Amino acid sequence: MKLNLKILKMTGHLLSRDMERQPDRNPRVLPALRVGAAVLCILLCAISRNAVFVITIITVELFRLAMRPPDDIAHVLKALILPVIFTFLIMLPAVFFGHPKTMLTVTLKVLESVMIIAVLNCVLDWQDVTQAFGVSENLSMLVLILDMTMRFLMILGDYSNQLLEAVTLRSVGKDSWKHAKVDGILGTTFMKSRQMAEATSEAMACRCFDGRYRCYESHRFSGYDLLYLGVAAIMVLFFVKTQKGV
Amino acid sequence: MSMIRLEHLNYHYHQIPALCDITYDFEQGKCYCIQGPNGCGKSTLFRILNGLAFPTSGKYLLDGTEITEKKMKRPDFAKAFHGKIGYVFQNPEVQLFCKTVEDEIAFGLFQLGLSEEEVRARVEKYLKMLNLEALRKRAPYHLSGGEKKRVALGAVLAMDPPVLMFDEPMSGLDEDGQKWVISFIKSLKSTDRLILISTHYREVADELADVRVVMNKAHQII
Repeated sequence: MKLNLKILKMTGHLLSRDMERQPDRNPRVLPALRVGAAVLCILLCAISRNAVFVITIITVELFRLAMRPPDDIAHVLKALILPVIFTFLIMLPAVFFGHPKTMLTVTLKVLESVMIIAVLNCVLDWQDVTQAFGVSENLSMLVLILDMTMRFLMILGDYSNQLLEAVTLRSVGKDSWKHAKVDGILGTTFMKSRQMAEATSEAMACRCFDGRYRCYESHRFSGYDLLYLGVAAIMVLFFVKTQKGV
Repeated sequence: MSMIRLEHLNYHYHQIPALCDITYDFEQGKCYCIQGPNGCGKSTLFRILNGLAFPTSGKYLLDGTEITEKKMKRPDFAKAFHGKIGYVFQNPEVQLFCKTVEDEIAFGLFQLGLSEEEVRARVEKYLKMLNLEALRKRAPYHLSGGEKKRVALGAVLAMDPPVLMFDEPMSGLDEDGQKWVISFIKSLKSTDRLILISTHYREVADELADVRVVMNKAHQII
C-alpha cells in the first residue's frame, strides 16, 4: 500500500513538473505533438469497435487529470457534465430498443473526447495551440490571422471598456440618452478598429510583408518529445491489438 | 553623400495642403531631428519617406532612385525599398502583431528571406542587446509601454536597415525609459547609417541631432 502511494506520488510529481507553467513559459513538449496526439486519440476512440481501448484511454486521462491542480480539475469536470448528461439523455431510448451497449459506448466516447480537449486546454494556452498549427507553412497564415484577431479583440475590448467608464463617470442623474451613448461607443470602437487595422497593415508593409508568414520556432526536438512520440506509438499499437478479432 | 533627396515635394490631403514645396537632402551618416508644431506635417513626411503615401507633386529619391506609387506596386521593388528603411512607429501597439516577442523580431527577417540559422542568430542577438531574453515567450500585447518600445526597436533593428526613422520615440515613456532610448539611439549612430527622428522634445534634439530640421505651420522646412 505504502509502495503504491509512493509510486503514485512520484508519477504525479513527474507529470506535474511536465505541466508546470513558468512565467516565461517554454513548453517541454512541442505543442504540435500534444495537439496531434490529442486529435489522434479522439479519432482512434471514435473508430474503436470495443470498449477496452476507450475505457483505457479514459482511465489514463483521469489519472492525468488527478495530477492537476484543484482549479484545473474543477474546470475539466465542469466542461464534462453538460455534454455527457446530454448524450446520455439523447441515447437513453436505445436502452428501450434493446441496445444498452450503444448508449454506453457513445456516452463513453463523448466523455473521452471532451475530457481530452479539456485537459489539453489546461496544459496548453491559446498561443501554444495556434503555434501547433504553425508547423505547416500553409497553416502559418491562419496562425497569424488567429493571433491578430485575438489581439484586436483584447485591445478593442479594453478600449470600449475605457469608453464605458468615461460615460459612467459623466452620467449623473436621469439619463434618457443611454441608447445614443451605446451607439456612440460602438461607432467610436469601430472607427478605432479601422484605424488600428490600417496602421498595422502599414507596419507590416514596412517590415517587407509579402503575404507569406512563417512562425519562429525556438523549441528544439528534445527527449521529452521523443518520450511523447513513444507513448503515442504505444497507444496506436494498443489500439491495433484491441481491435483484432472484434 | 545624399541618401534621401526631396525635390519640390507637395502633398495634399483632400485638397488640404499637408506638405508644401519641400526640397531637402538627408545625408548618410548623420542624425536629423525634425521638429515643429502639431499638424505641421512631420508624420505625413515620414509616411511619404516610408512609401506609405505618395507626393501629389515633386520627387522623392532614395539612393538616386525615384520612389513612385507605380514602382511601389511591384512586390520585388517594394520589398527591396522597405528592406532599406526601418520605421519605428509612435504607437508600438499597432506595430506589434505577432504572438510572442521572439516571433515579432523574426517576422521581418523571414520576410527578407534569410536562412533559419541566420534568423535564429539575429533573434538571439537582438533579444540580448535589448534585454528581452526573459520576455521572449511573452505576448507583446501584455508588456509595459517601455518593453513594447524595446520590442518594436528590436523588430526593426534586426533587419539592419541603412535608414532608421523614429516617430516620437519618447512618447509614452517614463524618465528612465526616455534616457535609455536616447542612449540607445546614440549607440546606433554610425557613418553608414542615416537616422531621422521626429520629436517635440528639445532634450532629444540636443542630445542626438547632428542637424535640426524645423517645420512651420505652413508645412514647409525652414
